[in-house]
Amino acid sequence: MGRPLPSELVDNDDKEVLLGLPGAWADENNELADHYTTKIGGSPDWPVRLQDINADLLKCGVCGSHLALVAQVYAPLTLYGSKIDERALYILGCGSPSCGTNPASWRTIRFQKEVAHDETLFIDQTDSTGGSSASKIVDWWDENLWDGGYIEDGDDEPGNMTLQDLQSSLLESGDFASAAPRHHEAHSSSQEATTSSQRGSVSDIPILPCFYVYTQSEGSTVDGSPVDDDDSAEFEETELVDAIEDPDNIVDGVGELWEEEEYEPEHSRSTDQTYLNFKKKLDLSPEQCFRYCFGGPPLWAKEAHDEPDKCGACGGPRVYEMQLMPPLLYFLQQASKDLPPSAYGPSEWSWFTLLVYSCAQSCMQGPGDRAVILGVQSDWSVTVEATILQAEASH
Amino acid sequence: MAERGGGERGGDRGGFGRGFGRGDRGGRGDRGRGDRRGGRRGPKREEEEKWVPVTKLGRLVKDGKIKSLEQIYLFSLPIKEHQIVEFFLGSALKDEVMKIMPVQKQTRAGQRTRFKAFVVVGDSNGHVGLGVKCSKEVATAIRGAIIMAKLSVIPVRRGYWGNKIGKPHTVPCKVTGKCGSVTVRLVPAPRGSGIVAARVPKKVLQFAGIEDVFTSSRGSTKTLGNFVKATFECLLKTYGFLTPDLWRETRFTRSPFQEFTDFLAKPHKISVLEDVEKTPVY
Repeated sequence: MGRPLPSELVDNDDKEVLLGLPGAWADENNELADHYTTKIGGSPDWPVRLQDINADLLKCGVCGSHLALVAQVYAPLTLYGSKIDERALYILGCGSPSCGTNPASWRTIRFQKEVAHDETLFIDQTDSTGGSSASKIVDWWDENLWDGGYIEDGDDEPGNMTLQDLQSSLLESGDFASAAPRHHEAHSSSQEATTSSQRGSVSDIPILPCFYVYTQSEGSTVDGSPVDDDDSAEFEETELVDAIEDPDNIVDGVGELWEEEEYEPEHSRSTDQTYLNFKKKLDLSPEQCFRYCFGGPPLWAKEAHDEPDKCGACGGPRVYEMQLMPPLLYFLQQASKDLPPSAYGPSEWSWFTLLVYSCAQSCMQGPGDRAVILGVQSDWSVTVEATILQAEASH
Repeated sequence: MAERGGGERGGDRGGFGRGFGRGDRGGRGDRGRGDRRGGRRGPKREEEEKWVPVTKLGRLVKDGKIKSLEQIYLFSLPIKEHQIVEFFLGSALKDEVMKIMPVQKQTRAGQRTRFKAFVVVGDSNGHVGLGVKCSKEVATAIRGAIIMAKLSVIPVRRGYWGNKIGKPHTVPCKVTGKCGSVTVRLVPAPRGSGIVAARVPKKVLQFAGIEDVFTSSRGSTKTLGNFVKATFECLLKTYGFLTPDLWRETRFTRSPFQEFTDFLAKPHKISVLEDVEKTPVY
């Protein structure tokens, strides 16, 4: 059966679920960021050069056309007490008409690099890619990298202010796509792209509308009931009194006698319990674009689901890491409406959720399998992870 | 308690003693029936006001591509988001908690009590929904039941007893519904008869917008859940009954999914044919 799961992953109960909430829209869809940024859409920020990535990974498995980046998530891990900070997930999808609902046209790639324990958290200068000036940015984000979360929420850290200034002075003024929809508020905590040049666009690689994401723990968005507390307290008290004190409800000798009721699980003609639970979690935080919880319990939208297969690199089991949620689709589709029509788009996509399962050990490719660039072996390991799609039932 | 109930309810209920559960709350105090909902929702968090649709149908509705709930009913599309119903019916939709019952389960450590809430929603103009939810807390049960009720909103067909003058006011034909051992039969009544029914189905029929009807029930109507579901079943069947005015042949149109599949459209894109439209199930 393969390796057993590490013990810290077996117990699911108290895992904190992080929700990815939408932040600011990118000014340009192909803005450059780096692999520490978490964003939806846009141009992928590979930690290695584009040429050094196996081209097949970037093509759809079904129709062969180029995949677009749907989500890029910086996902550091702490496994067995050791921190893996150089770790990012890229979720790619195909926008061709027939591919949108086909699970085989979605792919998740995990980039990971070993960092020796005595190294500091700077990336090796030799290792950074030629095309991006991301390495310069790392210094600025120094203090933000080590606090366990993968996106910095703190607005009041002094580091952030300089970041904003840097950004405003470095951005070129260019044409601004009118991709910003009205319902987004800018969040100062999102990390904007801070480079001076836009990426040269490769014409055949499709790019989706881009916005940045900030995270929040799910627990913090749930604050008891959304109902006015005073009201509900009063209500509950009187209800209890009436319900219990006078179970027969007989008054003046004449009354309505009701029989005992039994517990009845929720059911409705159009939905089932699993979906209702899914919807309930969504309603708690209606804008959540993805849920992240390494080793945590997945939130299924439908009862029947596929199981992921074993990790391709090490043969070990895979665990749930994160899942994309429908609001993401809604935002992308709203943004695509405003853009001029092109042959590509997410308008066909209509899944309920897209789950990503990744290797429980977060393994890396063996030295022999990694890409060799100019005779030097890459430090980055590239593995494909399991993507499970739960599609909406079509009518 | 007895006096209080009698004093208030005597006029309303026509001889019945005090009602029970939620029926009281509406009359007592300064809050009206529908108002209580509104007042309670006052200080809602801003996040909850926004509706980000989850299903494809939800997205079409939010964009205004679907003009009315009837279009959704025509193609029997499952409504999986209660916000869709709120979007169309909006403020016309009133809700009322019919009853809250404690439900007990025996465990090793004693009894565990949960509360089961029955809620009926409707706009008194042809749409009614029924929701049941069981929960450890009363407020949670009520809230959940309201959502379930909105999810289950159905159209109700009304017709005439005799002359077709004015608006339809009664059920179009005799219909009967059954749930458990309870069968409820609705019979068309002349204008002005009012709803001749027990208190519980009367509420459901009022919310449906039926003005006059005769009813007859059979079985153990003491089971509130079954009684109210049987009435609901009846109303469900009103649109399932083929009457002579429906004899004309149906002209099939495209379902909203087909019609709007490329509403984000790229002009040269070939529209993907989604599934064909379904004829109404009931």
